[in-house]
Amino acid sequence: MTSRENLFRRINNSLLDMQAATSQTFEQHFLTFARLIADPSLQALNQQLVIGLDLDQFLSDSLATQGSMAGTARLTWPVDAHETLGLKWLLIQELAREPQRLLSFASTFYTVGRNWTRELHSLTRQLLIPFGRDYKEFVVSSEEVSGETSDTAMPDGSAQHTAQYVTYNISGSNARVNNHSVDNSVNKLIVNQAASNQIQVLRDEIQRASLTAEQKIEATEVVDEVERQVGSGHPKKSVVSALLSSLPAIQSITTIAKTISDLLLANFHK
Amino acid sequence: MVKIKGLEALQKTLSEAQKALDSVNGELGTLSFNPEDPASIEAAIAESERLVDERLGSYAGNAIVGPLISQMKDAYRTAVVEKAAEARLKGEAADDE
Repeated sequence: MTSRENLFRRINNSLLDMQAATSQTFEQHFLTFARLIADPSLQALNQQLVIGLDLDQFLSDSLATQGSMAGTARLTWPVDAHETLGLKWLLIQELAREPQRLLSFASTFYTVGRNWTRELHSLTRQLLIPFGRDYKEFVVSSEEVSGETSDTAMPDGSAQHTAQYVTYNISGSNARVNNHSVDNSVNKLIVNQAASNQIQVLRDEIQRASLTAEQKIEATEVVDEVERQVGSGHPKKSVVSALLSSLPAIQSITTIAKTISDLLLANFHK
Repeated sequence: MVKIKGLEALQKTLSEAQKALDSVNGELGTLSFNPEDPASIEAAIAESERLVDERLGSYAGNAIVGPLISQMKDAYRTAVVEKAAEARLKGEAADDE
């Protein structure tokens, strides 16, 4: 891995860390991000990026847009994309020098309510991630024009291997309100989660089992269908039983399958 | 005859909440994202928020449903970020093999 590719991978990682951070842990990742985009190897490009820009004036103009209500302040980005990128770089460096300002900056310009973590996530989504994407393009294109060795590998590693997309089915909360009635129901969400965990264990066991590649594919397809049934919130007893019984008759697999079956059948419709 | 206005309002709130929560039972939608790409992850989170707003947005003023909207969005955000982290770890483990 070249040093440039390695640098962009670390920048990408710091963005992923900020996405998962809370208001208590955000600062550390933000400072890492700021330090990485000011790497000495990028000094000449950064100087070129910020030449002639006045961050103080930009912040002063932006603060002047604040009305009487919270959430009305707007950052007055210039029309020119290159200048916007430069101002963002300066802004990130300024906040890194005074990280105690991060929360107030986020709550002034990226307001989502009275929740600091959400506001920092809003800052990450709307400022830092787009900046990371545009900055990488700026560096790569600048180095290509100047003929310097520039690794075109994307920070997400896409030049090395095809990205494995995650598909995630989201289901409702199964929360309920009862008006004029008594609730005797079981919380199926907990059952669903337990079944999902067992399904993952089952998948792992299938991969470990002494089966041919074709048998593993077939077994995985069966598990996919079981998972779809669970995800639907209304798994059918007859369908789930038939699917699970069609799995390879290996003890570890049948034991896990029985656990899933017991979990679902005890709590869902027949 | 004494008219209890507060009770009527409470019943209306409960009735609305019943309708709202019925609309988010079962599957809400499918998200697809590249676990290595922060922008792709954010897009998936934004899509989950849109799905919640689509079903519950019109009940945002309801005293029961309003807080639930924020809780659901937070829960889906956390779930997407965790799924992405899990997929990255699996990818790294596979690369090491």
